[in-house]
Amino acid sequence: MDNRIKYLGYILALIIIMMISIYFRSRDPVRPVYLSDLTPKVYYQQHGKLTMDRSISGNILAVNGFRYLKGIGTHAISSIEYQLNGRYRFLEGAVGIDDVAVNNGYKIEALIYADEKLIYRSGIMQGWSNPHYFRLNIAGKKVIKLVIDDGGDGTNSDHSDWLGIQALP
Amino acid sequence: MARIIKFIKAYKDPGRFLVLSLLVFVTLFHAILLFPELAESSPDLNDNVFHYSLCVSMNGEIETGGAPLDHWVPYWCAGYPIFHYYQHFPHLMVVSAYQLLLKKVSMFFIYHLFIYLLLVLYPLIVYYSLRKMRLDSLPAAGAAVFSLAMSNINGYGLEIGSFTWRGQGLYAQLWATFLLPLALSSIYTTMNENKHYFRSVIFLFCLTLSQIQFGLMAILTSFLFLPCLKTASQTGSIRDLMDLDWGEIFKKFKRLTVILVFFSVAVAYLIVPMQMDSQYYTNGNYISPETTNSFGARYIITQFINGKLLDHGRWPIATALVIVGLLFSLGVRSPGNLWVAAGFIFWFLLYFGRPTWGLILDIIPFSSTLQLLRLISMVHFFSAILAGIGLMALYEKIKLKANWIAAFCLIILLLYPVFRERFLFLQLNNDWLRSNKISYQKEKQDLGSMLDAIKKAPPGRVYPGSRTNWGGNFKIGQTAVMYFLSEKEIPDIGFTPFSWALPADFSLNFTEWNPSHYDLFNVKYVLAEKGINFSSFIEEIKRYGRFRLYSVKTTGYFDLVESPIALYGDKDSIWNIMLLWMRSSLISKKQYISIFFDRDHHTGYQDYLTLKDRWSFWRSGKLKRSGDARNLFSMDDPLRTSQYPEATPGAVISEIAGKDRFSCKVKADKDCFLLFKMTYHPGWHAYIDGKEKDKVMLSPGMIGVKLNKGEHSVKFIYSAQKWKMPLFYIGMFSLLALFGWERKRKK
Repeated sequence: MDNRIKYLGYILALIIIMMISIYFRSRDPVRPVYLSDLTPKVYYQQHGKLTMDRSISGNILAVNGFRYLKGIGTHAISSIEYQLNGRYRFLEGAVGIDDVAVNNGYKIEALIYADEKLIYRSGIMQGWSNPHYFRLNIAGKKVIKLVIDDGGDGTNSDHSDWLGIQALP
Repeated sequence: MARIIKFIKAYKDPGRFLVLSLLVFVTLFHAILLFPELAESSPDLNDNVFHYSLCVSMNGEIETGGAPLDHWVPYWCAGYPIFHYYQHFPHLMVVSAYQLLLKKVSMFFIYHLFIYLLLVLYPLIVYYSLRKMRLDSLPAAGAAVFSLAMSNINGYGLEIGSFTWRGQGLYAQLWATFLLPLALSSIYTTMNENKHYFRSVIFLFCLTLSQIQFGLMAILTSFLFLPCLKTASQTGSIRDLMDLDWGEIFKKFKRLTVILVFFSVAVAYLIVPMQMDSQYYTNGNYISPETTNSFGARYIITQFINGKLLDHGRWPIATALVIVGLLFSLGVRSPGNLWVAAGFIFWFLLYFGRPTWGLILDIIPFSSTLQLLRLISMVHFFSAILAGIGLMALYEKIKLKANWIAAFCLIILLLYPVFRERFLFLQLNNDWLRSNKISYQKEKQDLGSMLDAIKKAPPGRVYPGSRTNWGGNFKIGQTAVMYFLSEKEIPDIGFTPFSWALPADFSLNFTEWNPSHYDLFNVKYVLAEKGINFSSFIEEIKRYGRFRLYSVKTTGYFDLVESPIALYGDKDSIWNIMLLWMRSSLISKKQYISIFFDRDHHTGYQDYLTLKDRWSFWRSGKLKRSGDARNLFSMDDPLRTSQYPEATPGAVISEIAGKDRFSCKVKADKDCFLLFKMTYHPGWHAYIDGKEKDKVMLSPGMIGVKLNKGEHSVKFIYSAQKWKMPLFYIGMFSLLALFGWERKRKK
């Protein structure tokens, strides 16, 4: 057989396999998703760069020694919005001050809004405290907004981590 | 000048002169610039400390009639049977040489002599091996020149910085680097010519015993020899991949299978016990994800294009030559070129790692324990060959268009920036190690006296600070004081050269102002320099120059404790809850957690926790678990610490500590647990009043055994895994059988 026809055959087979896998993937039911694997609809951050699966200093996300491979590294004051379109029922994760800033004694507060309504408030957090866990009902909510506030003492050293934060069906 | 040209012209082919010149140059370059590594005897400051200490430990086993291939190494992380999981060939070579030389030459010198010789001879080995693999002499010489000349921003590659004093000290990888081309060329020959089976198996065997990951990489590379070998119908171009000679491929596959079968039997004594006890081997919480998963396609392609993968810190000459070599290999009809191109592409793609390939990589055996970061070694290996091919392709082009003198000049022009950068790297290396030696000489006596005093003192671990606090700056020259301890066979908490032991990560959370932590790890001594203030429970014993030796009261290597909580989990899930325990009041109350990796229901506990993952658990035991698991951080006190009082179950009367044998006499006032402050491993056997008893793992990964009320005599002995020696003998017998079969076949 002519080599060119063989080449063509291989490429065609590859394209068919890819199309089948894309078809089946698109039919999948909603699965849990880490927010760090999604692109925020819009975000604002006063200092540094919003970082996925790392703290803004480039280290592994770590709060009081508890290390997370997934999550969002940010810095007060920040606001991160995700368009989830009501596909998920729960938002689960934890939040805290990143270990890089624990010694500085500054405070933060984490807030979560669903369709502009406040659904979670962590209270004031400082370094050397365990991550603050949350599991929130977000059924039917289209937009989730994650906010890190400065805790009332300014934004100095407010390195903050959203740890293992994921949307669950 | 005229005389030199006349001399070169005396060779019918200037190419032969070029090959000779390049090989002499690269050998002399390394022989001269690496010589201070050998001559200066400067204290090490990287992984060489770990490897050299292992040599010392192995030698001790040989001299005391112990088990050199599977023994307890007590120096780091509450002890670990390192050779149970780790390759031993490089260390065995040092110890064998030391013993063969009747201990007349210091082991430290022999260790560094091996490093020196392996590095100096490596380019020649590359040349020899590539010639055996049918590469022309010019590109083979080019590859030899580039074989140690790569420079990678992330380290760990086949580059001089991986092995030198100022580098990473990857001694085991150096042996693997040296043996890799020999193993590949021998396997290539066997697959092509149906001979040298024994040699191929031996090289692959030694390579794997030098570094398991390299053995695996060599095996995967061998499969690339199948389709890329020259057959009667092939002309060597990439189009021939469409017209493979399947009959020939099947023959080669059969030969490769024979090699792999004998190799598997031979190496089983390392792999089988390792796999059987793999649940006691962890990857560590503090290893960066990039080390195990690599960096992903975007990062690696960007770094390659930027020249930081092959030419970090200099002009991207090697990168450019690799591209030229790759294009040349894919386009030109040469039998040796195709497998090189295939090898480079394969390893370059695989080096993308899990961020790109995800679960596909799980197909590779042992991939969960591999450090994919180290795949850079294979990228470097094939890059060096491609750079050699590229260099010589340009040489031939210029020679044809102009003359050989212009072509020679081109080679010098291209190699100059590469070797100038390598020269500066090694020059700085040599300056640093000389000044380090001078600093060491000044304080050698003080340090030696202090370490001798610790060795003579009652047994206990030493805390010389950790790398993340003052310990990182507590140095002699550039060598941290903690590095001197293991070489003198003194166990410590602070320097953690590996993360495989379950308590290793917890030793990194050792809190120097918490007396319970000293007791937990039996840290009896603190080493520091003047000017550091400690809590009052740490008492100064003696001063040695600027060094201060302190002591702390502990219960020794044993203690009597209680364990009211049973925890079901595995090596990956226990981390967070153990960290909570270590920071809780339970540790000072001597209330420990019993950890179970099995699925049996263990009775006698007040509380049962079953871990779902690192973050969540069920209460009431796994047999009754119901509902959603609770997140550890969703409650203030998941361990319910307040409900447990301080335990006072009795006391240790006396203890005797050895390397792999410990014993004690205890008086238990009630039924309780005896805590043995050593990393839990199935190799330990506990004997209570002469009878062997079941062990239990106590937080954060140590050994415990249940005791009834009364006085007891207890002994703990570590012994090698029972399958190890039978498998070793079967392996050696199979090698002998292969040798005999091949001899008979020759006749």
